[in-house]
Amino acid sequence: MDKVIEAVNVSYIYQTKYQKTKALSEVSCSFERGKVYAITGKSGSGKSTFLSLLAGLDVPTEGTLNIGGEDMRKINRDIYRLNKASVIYQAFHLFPLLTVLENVMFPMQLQHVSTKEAKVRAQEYLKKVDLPETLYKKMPSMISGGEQQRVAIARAIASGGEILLADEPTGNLDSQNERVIVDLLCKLAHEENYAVIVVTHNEAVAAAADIVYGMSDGALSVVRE
Amino acid sequence: MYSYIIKNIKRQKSRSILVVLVNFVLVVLLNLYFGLIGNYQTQLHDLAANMPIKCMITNPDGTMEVGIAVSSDTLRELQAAEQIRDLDCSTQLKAGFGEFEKAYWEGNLNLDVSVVNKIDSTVLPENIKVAYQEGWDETLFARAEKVCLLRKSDVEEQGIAYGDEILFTVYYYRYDDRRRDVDILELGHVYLKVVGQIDDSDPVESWEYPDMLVPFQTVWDAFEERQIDFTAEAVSFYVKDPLALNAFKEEMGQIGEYGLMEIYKGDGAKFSYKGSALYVQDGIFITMASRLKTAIRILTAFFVPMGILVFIVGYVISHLLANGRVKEFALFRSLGVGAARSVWVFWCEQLVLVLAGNVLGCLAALFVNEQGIREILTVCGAAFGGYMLGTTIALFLLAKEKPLELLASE
Repeated sequence: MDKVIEAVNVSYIYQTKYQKTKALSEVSCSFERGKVYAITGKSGSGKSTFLSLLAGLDVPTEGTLNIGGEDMRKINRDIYRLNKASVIYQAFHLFPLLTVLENVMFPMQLQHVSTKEAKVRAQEYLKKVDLPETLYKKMPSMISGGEQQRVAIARAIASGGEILLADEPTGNLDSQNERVIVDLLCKLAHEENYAVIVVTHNEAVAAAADIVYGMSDGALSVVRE
Repeated sequence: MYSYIIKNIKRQKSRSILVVLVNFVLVVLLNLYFGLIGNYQTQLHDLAANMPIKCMITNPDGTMEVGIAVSSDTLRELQAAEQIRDLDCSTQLKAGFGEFEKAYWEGNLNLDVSVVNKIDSTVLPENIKVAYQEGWDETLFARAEKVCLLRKSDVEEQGIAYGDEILFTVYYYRYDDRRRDVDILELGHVYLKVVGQIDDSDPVESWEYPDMLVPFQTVWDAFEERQIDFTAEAVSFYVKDPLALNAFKEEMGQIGEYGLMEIYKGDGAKFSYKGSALYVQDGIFITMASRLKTAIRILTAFFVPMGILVFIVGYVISHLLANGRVKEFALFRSLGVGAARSVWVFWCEQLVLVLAGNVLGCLAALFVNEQGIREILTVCGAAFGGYMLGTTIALFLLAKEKPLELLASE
């Protein structure tokens, strides 16, 4: 299997005017397509910081993070997020002023896909996440949390990337919707060949993952392989 | 991206209207502010034309009735002076028709002669009109022509026709050194061509007006020809540029033996009779100009604070609006939109709204103000620049935030 992301001795230090805090300490691991990874740990253990590095929103203070064999520092990280990696958040973070369909079309429009084609493809992605067609023209505030998260997933896959990063994707959902989202993420990994990396507190989500890492005080360990 | 901007503007109506309204008000207020300054500046500029400053040479004690004697040298200096305009000079002579000796002056020396460089220098009653021979007009007084205008009654009595050259015996009179007695001194016999008439058909009893008008330079030349000191008895003029009063006063201070602006005082004396003084009617002008200049100075002192205010308004409003959309911005970043492009999208959105507000503000200013389009557009440009600078800084500060930290919360 191809390693889409490989972390080698990655450390990250938050530096403020008055103090330095080591959020990650020599983290080494790799992620492959077709698998679901869960990273668990307490609040403040460094999970979100690690996800931020994996999303290319920041770079390691020490160590290297290789994306498809290339050092993260040397690639255009905006292009990486635009084409390869998408992030799903606990609070969904859909554009409140765009309709459901427009939200899914948005990443494709950033890639200069024509509006007509983006619309057709967005409808396909929304079907893939089982969102009823009647909701396509609704504003995000008019649909439920579970539906919003499915829209967020549709938007994530709309960019056509290979890596899905999820930060507590079921944190705001009830157990029924939680199950739907977990199944959807697993389906995307196993059937659509995405590398799905989920940061979570939720044991049920971790239980569904193929590989589980534990994060404690910035250090990563394998919980289940 | 541009469709996203338009959608955002349309769907966030209240926010969009707020930005448009703020910019509209800013442009209108700034135009009123600059319009007020422009109005005061125009008033100050027009003040010079509407309120000319007249100056009159007086005796050193300020009186003007008798005894003024402005020397040829002073007159020449005044003619060459750069800070004055419309120099008005006159002097008085006595003359009689024909040739006669001083001993026979009684009965012969009966013409009051006004020697003027402009027809306006002599004050005639309204019903007394001046007529000229064809080919002549009032400009003759500014030249050194050997011509004269006589009263119609004298012309008819003497049987004189236009173009006749008449012999006159001319006398001038001066105060003695003690300014008590008048010396009557013979200037001589001169031939002058009659080219006009002072129509005294309907005389005004209580008004003393001349029997004869002669160009000033003609008489001055005659004095010089005979090597007699020539003096003007009344000199007045206007300050060329009332807004340059100091330059004018400096120049006047150098004219004449003692300077016209300073009355020469002898030791222990209140006034000396040497020299001349200048009465400048600048009191009201100075008061008005000082008030206008003070108003302009106060208003212009707010130039920088006004600029800062516009910048702060732009910054604060953009900062507040951006703060409300900080997650939207982070989401842009998270979706792979570069920081600069994300700022550009937000900036363009503000740009559209600010431009809309500015256009409306300009239209309103056109109706409210008397300023020209160029001035309004300049003010609008300044408002636009200040506001957008504030917006740019607010958005660049927003771009410094870490996206995932903003989006991971909640």
